[in-house]
Amino acid sequence: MTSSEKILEVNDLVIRFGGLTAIDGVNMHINKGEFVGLIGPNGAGKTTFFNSITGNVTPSEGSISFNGESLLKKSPDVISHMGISRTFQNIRIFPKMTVLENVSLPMHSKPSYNFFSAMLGLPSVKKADKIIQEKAMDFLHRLGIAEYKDYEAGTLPYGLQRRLEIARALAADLSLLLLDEPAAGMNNDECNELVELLQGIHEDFDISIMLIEHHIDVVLNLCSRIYVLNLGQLLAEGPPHEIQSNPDVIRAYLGERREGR
Amino acid sequence: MTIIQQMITSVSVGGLYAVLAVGYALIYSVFDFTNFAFGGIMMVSAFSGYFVSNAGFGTIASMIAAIVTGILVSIAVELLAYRPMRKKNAKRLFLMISAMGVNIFLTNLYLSLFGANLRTLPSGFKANTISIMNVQIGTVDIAAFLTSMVALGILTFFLYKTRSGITVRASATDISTAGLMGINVNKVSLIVFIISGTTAAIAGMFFGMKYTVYPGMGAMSTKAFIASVIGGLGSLQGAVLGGFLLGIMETLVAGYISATYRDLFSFGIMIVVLMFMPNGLVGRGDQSKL
Amino acid sequence: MYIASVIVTVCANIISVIGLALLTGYTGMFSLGHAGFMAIGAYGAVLLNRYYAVPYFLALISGGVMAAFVSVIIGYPTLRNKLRGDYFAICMLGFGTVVRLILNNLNNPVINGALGLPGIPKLTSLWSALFIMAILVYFMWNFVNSQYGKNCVAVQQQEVAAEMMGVSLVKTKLLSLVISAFYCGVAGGVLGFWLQYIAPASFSDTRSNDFLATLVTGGTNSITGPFLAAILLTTMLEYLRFLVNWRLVVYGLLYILVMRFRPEGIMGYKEFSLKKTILFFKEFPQNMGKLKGKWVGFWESRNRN
Repeated sequence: MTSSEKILEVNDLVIRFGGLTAIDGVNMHINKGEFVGLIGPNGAGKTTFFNSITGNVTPSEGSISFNGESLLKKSPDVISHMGISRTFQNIRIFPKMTVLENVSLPMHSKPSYNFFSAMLGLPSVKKADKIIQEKAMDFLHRLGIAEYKDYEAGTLPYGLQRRLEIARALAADLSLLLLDEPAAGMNNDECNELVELLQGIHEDFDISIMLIEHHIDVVLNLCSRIYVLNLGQLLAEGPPHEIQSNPDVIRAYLGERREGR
Repeated sequence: MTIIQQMITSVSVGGLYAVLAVGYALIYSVFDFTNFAFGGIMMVSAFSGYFVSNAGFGTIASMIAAIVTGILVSIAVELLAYRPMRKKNAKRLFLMISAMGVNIFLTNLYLSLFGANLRTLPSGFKANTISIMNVQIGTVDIAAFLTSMVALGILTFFLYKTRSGITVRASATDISTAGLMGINVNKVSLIVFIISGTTAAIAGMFFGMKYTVYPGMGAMSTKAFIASVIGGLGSLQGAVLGGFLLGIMETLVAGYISATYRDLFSFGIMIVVLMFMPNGLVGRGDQSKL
Repeated sequence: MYIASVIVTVCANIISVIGLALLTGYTGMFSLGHAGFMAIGAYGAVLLNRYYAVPYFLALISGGVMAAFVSVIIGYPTLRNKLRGDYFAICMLGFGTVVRLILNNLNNPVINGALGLPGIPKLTSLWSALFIMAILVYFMWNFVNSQYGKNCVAVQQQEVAAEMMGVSLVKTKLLSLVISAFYCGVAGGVLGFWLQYIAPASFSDTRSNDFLATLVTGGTNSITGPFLAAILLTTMLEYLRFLVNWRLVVYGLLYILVMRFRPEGIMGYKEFSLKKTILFFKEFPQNMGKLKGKWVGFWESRNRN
């Protein structure tokens, strides 16, 4: 599945907020079909890195290209339609919309009919809406939350909200998925379940995935390559077993966490 | 009117705008919303001043009455309306609507109770003018200017040189972090609302002396708000700068074009600034945090 | 006929409020300047009819289009800047004031300054008002339940996520603004051709406040809520005219209380359902038991399929 063709390429990325340098000269790439991990201690700049890819944060220097096209100066919605989708560290579902409406949204974020047809309520409009609902149901089934389709998303328990976010991210027509700590707050059993789920998704949807996660076992199980970020700089890159034995990484990240336990 | 006279009027009006604008900017910088209740509070304070001076007390007594009213109403609004909403993490937009509610409530309450007629504040300054080099200057203008300067000076001293002032500035930088660092945010909010109540009262009294006291006079504070938009919402220096700029520009427009276009000009400026430079002259930008 | 007059006023207010419901209740943007769009629509329609003999319906639509056009001019730069919600509200407040001041100061024979335009032919009838209102409400109902409407709600609920899921914030917000301006413009025309007289003072801040109070009562994410609230508040105001200023006192309190206790509006997130209402009365005895402090039956949750 993994080819050497790069889907995402980031060169010499620098992001500054006022006097603070959050990302400092990072080079990264993701190959087509790859499952890449991004780890690092808190405040390392992982989420900022995601935000720069999705267009929420404007890089100060460097380049980001997706399938050869630059992402700089593009707004988040445009980037989304190019095929990049994500989940959020602090869940950002639409709380008062139903689960089904949440998952449908990315499929009609560019409405498929004009607004005059919408106002007239033409039959073609109803038909288009129905097709999207059916597709959305498929995603809900895939993530195992179909039974909650009519619930207000905000009323779901935490774990299901995380699943809903993944379902919503998948519903966008995507080729790269960015997952920001999907296992946050989960216990070991739930983590294992998530690993299985993500493995399945990676195979079924034929997409590239980049995963930020603090549960190191989840990352080691899923990713074929791992980047380690520390204080805005790239500390190491390589397959899981190399990362595990890299002394710098152990000192900066793994060791610290082991002691913490 | 000579140009010098116009400049002096504009500076005195500008000074009052600046004081009011600082009241807006202070609350905006700490709590991140526009306190539209300000106009109402200003009007209520001016009315208290009017009642006290009507009862035969002097200018100082009526000024004190106005300031006490301003502070009390300002705190009451904070405690009854804003603080409970902040506890619920209400959107700042909702806070603003609530503030507009307070303004509409106060204005129309006074309108219903006391009628729309204009009341003159009997003051020691009213009609007196002094003449410097053949230029007639109203004493009220001088008093307004001096008072604004003193008020701004005291405020600067308070914010930069006292412990409480520093907690206010820390909260303005980041209120949740300030809370985590052990700053009593509730105390800060009281300080901020006391200051803004005082500025509203001072401006209310002087507008009352210069023009008249009436329930709709709170609309004047819209100008101060425009001034703080021009300067950059949330910036105290910007508010002062915007206040003087607006005062001067308005007087020039009224003097050289037509008084009827003065308000049109002010609102036009505000819209243009919001559309093309939303951070004003010296305001800070804002980037939503993920 | 007094009743007819009340009904036409109600219709005009429903049209404006439903338009604003899209902007405020669905997309989540507040405006206190929409009386300005109403003024543009009213003056536009009346003047087109007066000087170019444009027929009634076409004049109304043209008035609405003019309001919509102006809303693009003011809205596009504002929204492109990603102006924060409160700045937008302030900008609109300024806009409403500017429109009124401009009309007030144009002392030429066409606009006639503060004196306004007398002698407008009475082209709005009870039936035409009802017809236009019904059509526009129906269109809006379709719109908010379409993909467009869902995008609006997503923007209101979680702007950042909506944008990253591909919703264009500028387009969505601008479309809501334009449609709301169009609705207010049409409402202005309907009212102008009924009252036979319009003046800048007819489109004051008080009117914008009437709308906002109606919306706050009617609630977010709802068409029927604002619809019923418009009927309720307008008729109330007609019969309680002597309370002119006290009503604004009440509005003020209403804003404060609703924002504090129920920011989604008194009837927010619900749609009125006739079926449920009938069912409620049929099962009234059983329901009494469930009524302990709760509203049961009348309101069907928005979240059904």
